[in-house]
Amino acid sequence: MLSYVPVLILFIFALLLGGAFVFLSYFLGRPKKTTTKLNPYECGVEQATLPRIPVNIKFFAVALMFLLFDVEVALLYPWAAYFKSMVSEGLGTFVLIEGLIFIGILFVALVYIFRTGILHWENGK
Amino acid sequence: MNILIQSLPLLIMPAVAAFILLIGAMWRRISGESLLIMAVAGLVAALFFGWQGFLAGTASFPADIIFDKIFYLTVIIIAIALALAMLVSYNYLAERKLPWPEYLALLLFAGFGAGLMAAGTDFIVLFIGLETISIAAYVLAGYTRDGSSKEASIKYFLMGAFASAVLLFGIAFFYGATGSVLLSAAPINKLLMVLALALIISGAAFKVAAFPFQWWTPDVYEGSPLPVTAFFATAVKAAAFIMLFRIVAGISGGLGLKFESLLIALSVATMTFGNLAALFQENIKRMLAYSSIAHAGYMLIAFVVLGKDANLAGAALLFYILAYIVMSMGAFGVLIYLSGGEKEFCNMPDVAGLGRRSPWLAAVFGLFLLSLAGFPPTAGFVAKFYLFKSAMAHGYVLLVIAAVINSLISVYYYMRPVVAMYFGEFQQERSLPKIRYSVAGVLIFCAIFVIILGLAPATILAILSH
Repeated sequence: MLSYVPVLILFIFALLLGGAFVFLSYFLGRPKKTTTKLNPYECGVEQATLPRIPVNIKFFAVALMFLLFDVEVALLYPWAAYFKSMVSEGLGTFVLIEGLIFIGILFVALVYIFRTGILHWENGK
Repeated sequence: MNILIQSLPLLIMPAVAAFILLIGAMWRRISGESLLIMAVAGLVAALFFGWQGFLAGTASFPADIIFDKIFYLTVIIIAIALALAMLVSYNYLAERKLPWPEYLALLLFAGFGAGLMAAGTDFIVLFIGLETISIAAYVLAGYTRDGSSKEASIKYFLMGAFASAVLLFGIAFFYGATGSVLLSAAPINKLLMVLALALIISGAAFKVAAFPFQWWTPDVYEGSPLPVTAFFATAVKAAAFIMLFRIVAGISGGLGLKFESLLIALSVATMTFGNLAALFQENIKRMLAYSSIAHAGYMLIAFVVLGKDANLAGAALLFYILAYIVMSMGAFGVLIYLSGGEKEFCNMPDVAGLGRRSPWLAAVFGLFLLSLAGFPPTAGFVAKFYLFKSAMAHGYVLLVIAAVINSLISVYYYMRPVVAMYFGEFQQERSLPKIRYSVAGVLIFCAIFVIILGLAPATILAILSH
């Protein structure tokens, strides 16, 4: 338990520091609410359009797919990194089949995505 | 090779799911019926291999997975529940023209998750199983395009993700306390272990809808499409309870801590809340949601007994789950039978006068409600009797008294639809739908099962007590 005391001290310190900043800014700052201050801040440039433009749902679908496959690739890295040591332990076939099953599941998902036509940009099924 | 055969009941479900997804995407014109038949055939195969595995006995698998009797029984129970949920939704989906392949695949993936939750001996496997079933459940809750369904899906997702995070946090503390994620690991640090246990029990209590964490249940059950609600109330609930069983059974082995009183409090609070809240519900779907909370309270009694006699508790819990699956699937099935092509008719006035309009349907609905209330000679009575008896045998008299009083309270709200059916006048002229064969088949199966479990429970009990 004693080894966690530094963590506790860190927590308390962080809390104190955060609290102190909020407290100080409350006293020292001038909380005057003007129209300019309450405007949305856009890199200092005046706003030209409303921020809430409807975005086509296709972008969302593509972003989602990218994220999914990106994460799956990230999961494959440790598999690749440990492959050699697993082979030397005699678990080569097992690990290879495991990895292939994983990729196979991803492949099924990819085929599904292609066939359902989410990636068809024009006719937008 | 042997391992492969023993894990077949688990592997067959995602394989069939992927196959259905692909064939549905490749061949758009394939009919819902053929996909449904494929899915049910896959479940029957899982059931068959599960039974074979049950006869063959326990086998262990490298990655902290154990294929023991509880696993095989769970797979059998889940396969039955999923097959019923699929069959019961045939008309519902067909009339609303909802896509079939995704629906069936999600149900089968959920079945895989449930099997994993029953087979895991460490927290990582359990958590993966839990997430598999939860994600499928979130999507299914929003399967129709009306507002309430979407609302249910979002609510379920946000609350469920939060509960998963709490559970994961508890697992992290468990790892900190024991240095291992194995359920049977002995704690090095008692204080951290208490924290871990509190977080894990909280997360799991959310999934089974136990008292302080049950608020999502009525909204999600009411908003989801009816067949999906039936699936939540049966398969998801069963899987969550089996996971809790694994966790509590595993942890109490390596632990000097007593958390029996915590479980007693959880159980009594859950059943009391569920029953009291169900008393004045006008929507039958919502009433059944509260009733499922109350039944979760009864099932938690088995966890109290678990510390004393694991075999007895396991058998009582599995029997209760099986009985609850058939009777609540039946009750939801009647509502599905009554629902129209566009709208669901779940309010009390919607069943008024059903006793004259369609006597068979009313009789079957009455049977399921009586069973849920725990009248003999139905499955609900035997399940409750067996559970209370096992608690009684280990001296939890006050707990049993609380449960019996709760059962008495529950009779009031279970009888309200019955009274409405037989003594009420129907308010609007709505012609009954034409015969829905798949739903009718499920209803007949459930009704027969409810009566068989009520009259001759000995065989099933003998199987479950292994």
